[in-house]
Order: sequence, then structure tokens, then C-alpha cells
Amino acid sequence: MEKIDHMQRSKLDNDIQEVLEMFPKMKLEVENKVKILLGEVDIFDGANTYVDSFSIKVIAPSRYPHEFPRLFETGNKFEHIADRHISEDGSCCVCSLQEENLVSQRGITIKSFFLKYVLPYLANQVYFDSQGKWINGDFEHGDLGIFQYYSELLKLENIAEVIEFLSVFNVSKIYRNDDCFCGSGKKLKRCHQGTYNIFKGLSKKRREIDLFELKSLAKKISKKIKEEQL
Amino acid sequence: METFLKYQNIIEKALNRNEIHKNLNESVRFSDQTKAVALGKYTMSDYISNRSELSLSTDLTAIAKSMGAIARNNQIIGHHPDFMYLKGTSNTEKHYIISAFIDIKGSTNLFKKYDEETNMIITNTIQLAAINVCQVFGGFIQRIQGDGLFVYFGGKNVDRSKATQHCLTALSLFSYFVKNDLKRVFEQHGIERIYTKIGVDFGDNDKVLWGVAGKEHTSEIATYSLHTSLAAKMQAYAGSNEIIVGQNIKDRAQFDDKFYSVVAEKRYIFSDQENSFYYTQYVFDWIKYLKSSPYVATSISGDITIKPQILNVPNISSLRETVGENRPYAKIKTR
Repeated sequence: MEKIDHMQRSKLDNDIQEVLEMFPKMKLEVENKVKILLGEVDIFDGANTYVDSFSIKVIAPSRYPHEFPRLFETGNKFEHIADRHISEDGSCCVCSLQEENLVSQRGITIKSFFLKYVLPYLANQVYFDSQGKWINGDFEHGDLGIFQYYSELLKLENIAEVIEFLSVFNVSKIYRNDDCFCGSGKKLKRCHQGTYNIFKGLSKKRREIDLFELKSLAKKISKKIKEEQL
Repeated sequence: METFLKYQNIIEKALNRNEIHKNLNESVRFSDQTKAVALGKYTMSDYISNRSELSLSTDLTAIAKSMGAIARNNQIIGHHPDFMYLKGTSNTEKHYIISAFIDIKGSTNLFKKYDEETNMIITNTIQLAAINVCQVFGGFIQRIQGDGLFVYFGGKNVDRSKATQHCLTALSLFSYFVKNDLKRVFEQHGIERIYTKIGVDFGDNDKVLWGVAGKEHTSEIATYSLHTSLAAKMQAYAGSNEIIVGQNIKDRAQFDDKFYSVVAEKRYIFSDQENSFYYTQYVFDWIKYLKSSPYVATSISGDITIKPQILNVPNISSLRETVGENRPYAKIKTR
């Protein structure tokens, strides 16, 4: 076990070194054995034209590389509110919780995190400042965002249907040659195999938490509807 | 780097349109050749009219100013304005100065494919880039020698550390231009190995004697100092695109130690064993310095750009490429 820890540490150190070379204004600090990258990143557009710079802090996770690093915008270049996709703890919500889960399970290096999430997220903030919207849209905050993720993935508009899907497939499996869950009558492999794979790619823990959140959201929604009827 | 784009454009025009043996040039596309021939030779008069446009970007000028540099323009070569009063006298004065020797190597290769006029246009343009960037950062052009320059930084009422910082910044920017922008343009025309060799040293108030060298009109206001001589030696010693600096420069600039490495093969280019004087020289990592500068932005491919004073309005379609598929979320309970 110690050997594995040591290997993970040295991989993290190597990966951090690579990031420090690519982003020369970032520095490494260690606080209580936690590795933190602090400094400035420069945003360039696709034509290699300089756009803007952001002061940031990135905290390396303890279960590196199988846990998402956390990004903080420290320069207050934009308002730190939910509508700018800043979480309650001040961290930047660079993607949905489900994408975070899928990516973490495969493993994500610090460098990939910078290239696939930090720079795009910050560039998206620049876009928002200019256009008042997000390039690819965004996810709703909190539990509504969880519903939105599954609703889009499963193409289901009703929360009850999403809850039913999760309730069933969190505990049972369907196989390639079984009938597809959508009721088309086609085999899964000829219908929604891709969607099913994404769903099953999520960790069991993630799916269970999401089901719990969705059930509680459904209760809140029905309570609100009742209140409105009264 | 956009900063030197106008200089690069002139050099490209001369290289594209003036090549003697076009058939030897495989890197220029046929359409470019046809276009170049149609435009005719880029002549000295074309150059003179374009040269008036040559200046440095306003962003660079603003940065130099915010670093505390006062530009020196309209200079009379060899006659440093702070010591002009020495002219025509046999008086001397001791005062600190930073001496920088800049050489541009490999331009002889130009003669293989270009005539003398084109050589002059190209060499002049490169020199002008060096002159302008040095002047913007408060440098004084003491002498133009061959392809290179001898430049002083600092003078009366100029802080020694600031002058050293300005000097290293100007030289770093010029080195980047030659090593990246210019090299790329030259290589596209089959001319390889164009590079700089730079030596810099600082002589303090008690180590530099100013006085007139020569006589009457055949004279210049010169410095007599071990450190001016050492700067020339360091320039000769420097490798391709290297800036070699003396210990005094390192001490005065007060930059991070990570930008310096001791000259590897021969720790002391100069030592006086009888007087136990050992003077260390360093290779200054100018690219690392530039990339660390708050005035410079670095792309993930390692290209640098001077940050504009006022941010450009982002190009939405180009920004889209950086954003990719990003779609943010917020981990907040909304109810």
C-alpha cells in the first residue's frame, strides 16, 4: 500500500512539474501535505490571440488521479455567485457532477484538468462577460442540475420517469441483446447502448446519491404544486 | 510576437521579392513566388518609405513606462547625453553604467541568396528593432558595430537596479524576436542559423571612468571599465541566443535566482588570481524571465505575447475553440 502511495505521489509530482512548465506563472505550495498550485493562467483563443489572464488556485486531490482537482478563481474577475458557476465553498463548478464522476474513474491528470476544464471554464467566463450566456449552455444549480443531466441523457422530461429509470437500473442490468429500456422494441445494442454505457459508467455511489437527490427534489416539487393549488 | 510584426513584415517583403535564385527556394509556394514577382523588387526606396512606420507597439511602450523606464530618443551616437559636458575636455567622471554588447550572427548567409541592397535592408531592420527596443527601455546606443550594437543602460538619476531590469527586459524581448519570429521567417527562405549573442555587465560608480576617446571630431564619450570590457568578452563567449551576464547584473537586477545558471564550462571568463579577483558569469534564462513577467502572456504552445493595455474584444468564434464543450454547473442547493 505504501508503495502505491509513493508511486501516486511521484506521478503527481511529475504531473505538477509538467503543468508548471506549461503555465510559467503557477507555483507549487504544500499545506498540510496537500499540494496546491497558485498563480496566473493566460487564456488564448483558437487563433492563438491573447484574451485575458486569471489568478487561480488548484488543489490536488488526495486520491489523485482518481478524484477531480478543485479550481478556485482568486482574482475576483467575475462575481462569485451561483449564476457564474461558483459553488458554496467558492470552488468553480467546471462541469456536471456526473461528468466529474465519469472522468475521475478513468483518472485525470493535473495537466488534463488545466487543459480540458480550467482554460475552457475561464474562457467561457470571458464569453459570458461578453455575450451574457454560456457557449454550450449550462447546468441548473444543485439538484435541478442533477435532474437536467439525466433528463438530457435519457431524453426524459418527467422527473418521475427519471427516478423510475434510476431506481430500476441502479440495481439491475440489461444486456446488449435485451430489449432497449426506451420501449422501442429494438435490441439495446441497436438502440440506446451508448446512453446505457454512460449511465453504467457512473459509480454506484454517484447514482445512489443522485437518486436520493432526485426523490427529494420530486417531493419538493409536488409540495410546491400543492401549495400553489391551495 | 505582435510587438515586432512591422519589422518582420519588411524583412519578409525583402526575402520574398528579392531572392536571386528563386528556383533554389523550395519553401516558398508557387503562388507566393508569382505574387512576389508581380510585385517587383523590394527596393531601398520602398524600405525608406516603410521604415518610417517602424516603431514599437504602444503596449510595449506602456510597459516600459510602467516599469519606470524613460525612453531615450534622438540620440547622437557615442555621445551619452548625461556625460556630454565632457566633450571637448580632458575631464573624467566616475559613474556607474551597464554595458551591453549585442551581436546578430548568421546574417552572412544572406549573401548566398540576396544582393547587397537587400542585405542592407534586412540588417538595418533587425538593428532598428534592437535600437528601438533598447531605447524604449532607456538604453543609449553607444555604437553600431557590424551587425551588432553596443548599448549603455542607466545614467544620471536612474536607479541602478531599475536600469538593470530594463536592460535585461529589452534584451530578452529582442532575443525572443530573433530566436522565434525572425528565425521562422529566415528558415522559410532556406536561411538557417540566425541568432544573437549578448554579453552584459554592470560597473558601479567606483569602477567606471567616463572620458573622451579620440580627438576633436574623431571622438566619442567612452567608458573605461573592466566591466565594459568583460561585457564584450561575455558576448564573444555567449552561445546561440544566449545572454551572458556578470555577477553584478545578477546582484543588481534582484530577479529570482531561477533565471540564472553559472556559465558551465568555464566558471570565470575573467579572473585575476594575483589579486584574488574572481568574477562569476551566468547564462540568463531570458525566456523563463519573460514568461514569468506580469506583462507577458504565454500560450500553451509556449508562444509569448505582450499583454495589451486594454483587452481586445474577444473574437467569439475563436473563443469558442478554447471553450470547447465546457458546460458549467453549480453545486448549490437552490431550495
